Amino acid sequence: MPMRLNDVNSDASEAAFGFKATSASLKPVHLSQVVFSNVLGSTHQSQDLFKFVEKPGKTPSSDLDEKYHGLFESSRDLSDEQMDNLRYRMRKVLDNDNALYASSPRHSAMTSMSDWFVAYRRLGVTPSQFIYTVLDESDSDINQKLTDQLQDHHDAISLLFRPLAKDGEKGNVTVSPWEEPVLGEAFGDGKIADEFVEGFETLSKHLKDSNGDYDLNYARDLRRTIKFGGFLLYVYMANRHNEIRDDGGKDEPVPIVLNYTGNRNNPVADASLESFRVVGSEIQLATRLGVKHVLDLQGYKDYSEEDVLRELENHNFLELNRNKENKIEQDYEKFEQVFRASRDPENDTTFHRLVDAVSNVIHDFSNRFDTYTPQSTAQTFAWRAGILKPRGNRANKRRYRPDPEMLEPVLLSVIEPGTSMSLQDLSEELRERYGIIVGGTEQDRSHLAEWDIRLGASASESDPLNNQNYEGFKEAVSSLGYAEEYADGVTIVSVPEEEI
Amino acid sequence: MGIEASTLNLRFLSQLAQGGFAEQLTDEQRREIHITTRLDGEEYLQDALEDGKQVVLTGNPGDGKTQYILQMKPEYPEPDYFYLSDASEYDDYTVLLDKWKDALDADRPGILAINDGPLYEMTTQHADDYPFLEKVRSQFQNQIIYDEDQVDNADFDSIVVIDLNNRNILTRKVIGQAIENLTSNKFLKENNGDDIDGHIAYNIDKMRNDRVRENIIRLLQSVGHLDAHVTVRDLLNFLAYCITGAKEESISDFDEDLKYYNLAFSGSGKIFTLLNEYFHPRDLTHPFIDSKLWADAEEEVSRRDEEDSEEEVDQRFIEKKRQFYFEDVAIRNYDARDLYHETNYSFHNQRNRDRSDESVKEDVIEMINSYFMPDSSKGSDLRVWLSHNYRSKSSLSLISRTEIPKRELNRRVPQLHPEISDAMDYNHDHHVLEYEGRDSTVRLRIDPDLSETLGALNGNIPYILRGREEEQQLLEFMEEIEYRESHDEDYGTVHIMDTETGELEILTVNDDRYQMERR
Repeated sequence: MPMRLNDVNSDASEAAFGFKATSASLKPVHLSQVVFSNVLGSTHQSQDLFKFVEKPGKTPSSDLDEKYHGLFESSRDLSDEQMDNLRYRMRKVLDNDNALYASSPRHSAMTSMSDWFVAYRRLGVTPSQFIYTVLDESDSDINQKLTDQLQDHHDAISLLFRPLAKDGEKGNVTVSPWEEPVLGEAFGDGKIADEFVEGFETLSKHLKDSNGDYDLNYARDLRRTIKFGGFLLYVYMANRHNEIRDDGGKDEPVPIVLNYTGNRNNPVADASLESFRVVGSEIQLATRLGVKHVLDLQGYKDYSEEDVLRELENHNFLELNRNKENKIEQDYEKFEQVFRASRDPENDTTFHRLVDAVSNVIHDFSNRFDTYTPQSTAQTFAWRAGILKPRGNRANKRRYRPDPEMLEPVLLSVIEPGTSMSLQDLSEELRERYGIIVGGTEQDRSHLAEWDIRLGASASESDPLNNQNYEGFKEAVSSLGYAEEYADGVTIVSVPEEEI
Repeated sequence: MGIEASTLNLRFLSQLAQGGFAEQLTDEQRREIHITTRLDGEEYLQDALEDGKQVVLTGNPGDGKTQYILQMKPEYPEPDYFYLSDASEYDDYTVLLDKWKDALDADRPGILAINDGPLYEMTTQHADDYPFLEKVRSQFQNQIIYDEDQVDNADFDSIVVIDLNNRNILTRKVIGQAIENLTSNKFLKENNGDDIDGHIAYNIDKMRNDRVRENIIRLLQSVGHLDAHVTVRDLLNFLAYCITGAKEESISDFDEDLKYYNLAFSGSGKIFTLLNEYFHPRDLTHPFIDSKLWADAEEEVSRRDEEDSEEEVDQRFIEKKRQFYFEDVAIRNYDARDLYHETNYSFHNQRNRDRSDESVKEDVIEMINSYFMPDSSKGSDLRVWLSHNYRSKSSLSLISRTEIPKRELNRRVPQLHPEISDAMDYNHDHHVLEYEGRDSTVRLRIDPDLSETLGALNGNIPYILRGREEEQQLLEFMEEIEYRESHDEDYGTVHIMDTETGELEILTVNDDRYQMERR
């Protein structure tokens, strides 16, 4: 049977990571839909809501069923144009993540504030399942806290859509248990996922309790949970190869150098870019191990070089989603070139060369085989989630510079409420647990060196990582309100006990 | 053997000018630069010592802590009194803490100078073994209070902690004294007794002039209103540099660059940075003053009949303007303050002590309201907005269902804890809008930055072009308030703001039906 590269791609992702990270559309809001539906054990389907917030350009109010007009008191005074305007504004509230496609609800994700907006699970289901598993593994009441918040409808957004949403149907969600990826367990001692289990445990202590007096849900907590989940997804994928490679991994997690220098032309910015590239290639290597596994299962180990070349010659090797003969010809040519050029110096067997070739073509940057790899998924997701800068599909030379809204839950995942630590200890903690490097710890350089990232010299400053960058990080933590600087260079980071 | 030469010479002055003056000053030098502040001038320290208290002076290096110990020691000598002038000498704090504890147990009053970092470390790491540190910690954290209820949070019985970080030393009295000390006649003599001349003599002479002195004081007082901590050392560093330009000898043939008004903008140190940032002659403009000074500069330069003189005129103009900051005689009816009294007007206006809390509160509420809804001028209720999405971009729409009546909000001004309010001057660099929830309060800290953002906007900048940082502070404050309010589930009026167009829809939800309100 001919090989479908896209299936190989997604099966490889499944084998390596335990989920399918193969979508260009994955946005944080999709994670929120699936994670929250898992937390709740249900989704909420409201045709009325969807119909009403459909783009007025597509379904003008004049075409809307009378019952929608009937929702408005003295609706005769409300012109169709006014209603269009209103619907357009209301739509924006739910489309605040730019993922509301009302005409195809199943791909939509509304910006959710309560369970009424947790509707469909289509995109990012398996990655979110993983995030939920980590969250659920944590010894905390985070599930309960989120449920309490989501089931409450006192907030402005729920109130606004109440007439349209409250009678929606509840659909139960069966959360299938997480299956460890075949290529190696995700959880366990020394695994990065366990750091996040602990992280959710600490983070949950910062989330507000909904007791009887304060019945309102708290949007910031929902955001913190999803932001942290997004960060988990990225860091987990970055470290996967190190965890499943045959030759035993490196001791330290993949470094993520946060660039707080404020510009892009200095050794820290270069190291940040370099660490971003290392993450990319590590994710690619993990996927490659997945490809190897998949091809082995499909019996490609039995193929000789002649077999492969013959099948290529006969156009029987690949199943291509193409109609034009010359395109098919070009695809085969490309594949053959890659295969002929592939080498595996250690194990120069046909199978290893084939694995190499398949892995290379699915990662081909021109995307000629239309495969969206875990590497691209992670990268696109990371700028959407506010981990990488600059944003946008066409940006290049991205660097790690998390948004304050992203940095905050990460900090809250390592600092218990009502406690404090020095900025230096915080940096050490972030480095050890997540691989985050901001400067200020003694191990920064050796950590980077272990991953072959060299911190160049600066013409203008002696040690930009420990000076300018660490200073910038300090300011970022300060402006979140968590750091206080004392004389003699001591900066203390403390998080107050939750008041309620 | 002749008489030992005085250490009060130009070398000393130029060391001061370089900022890094040695910790080891001669007694003569210490006496000379000692500036009496409220702490010793109004007998705060003396009273505390006589009441048998231990005073912990904390703050940044350069705050003059050691200086007070040296000043008090002769009158209150060891071993009856206990002094600790350098906590950083102790690698192991427990050695220091044992000594301290012994002194406390023996009821020895005294003064301890401990920088705030080490003090913080001690109180967080050793409070279990040294219970008196708990008292120190609570005082340390309650130096500044927002209302009377907080007074009881700290107990000032046997130990008094004074954080000099909160002290504003840029007061008329302190600046005046510092100028007097550093322009003393002693610096106008050579070692052999001859009078000096040259740039130092020129600068000292100028700075002794009443008008110039008055302008230096005013300018530095304005610097003191900025959100920055200036130490005594910073002040001495600034003044000494204005006099010497960090030169050990007075240069007889000197140019503009060694005149005090140019030196005031060319040294390095805290005050220089603040002056250049907030009081740069190019940034503070005034139509009359500028055109007059520019004309004068042009005349002076072109008289020399040179080509390409634009740059030169500009340079001359800047110099003249700097001079005008201090010697504002060039233009009748205008003085230097006309250039900078409006710096950050809205913040200072709100801070003005003559204005009632109530009127400032309404102002602040109005400004916040109009930040989100430009044509709103409501000061009676604060509208609470919510921005919610999961991606890393600002919201396409904001939504609101709550208004908080002003009686539920308080404007609070930070002040020194009454136990230490006589010890120093304090200039609050922020005030707060406080919401009192049922069992906790939420505060919005209004500092000059936030105030400026709100004030400058005045509704004219489109929402999507605004900076996110300050907005984030506002939205977090609002989210906390919203959390503490009670709401109906099925009734309410919702405002929807389209942030791209600034358009607003208002919709009332009542019993699962909508009522539309058109604006």
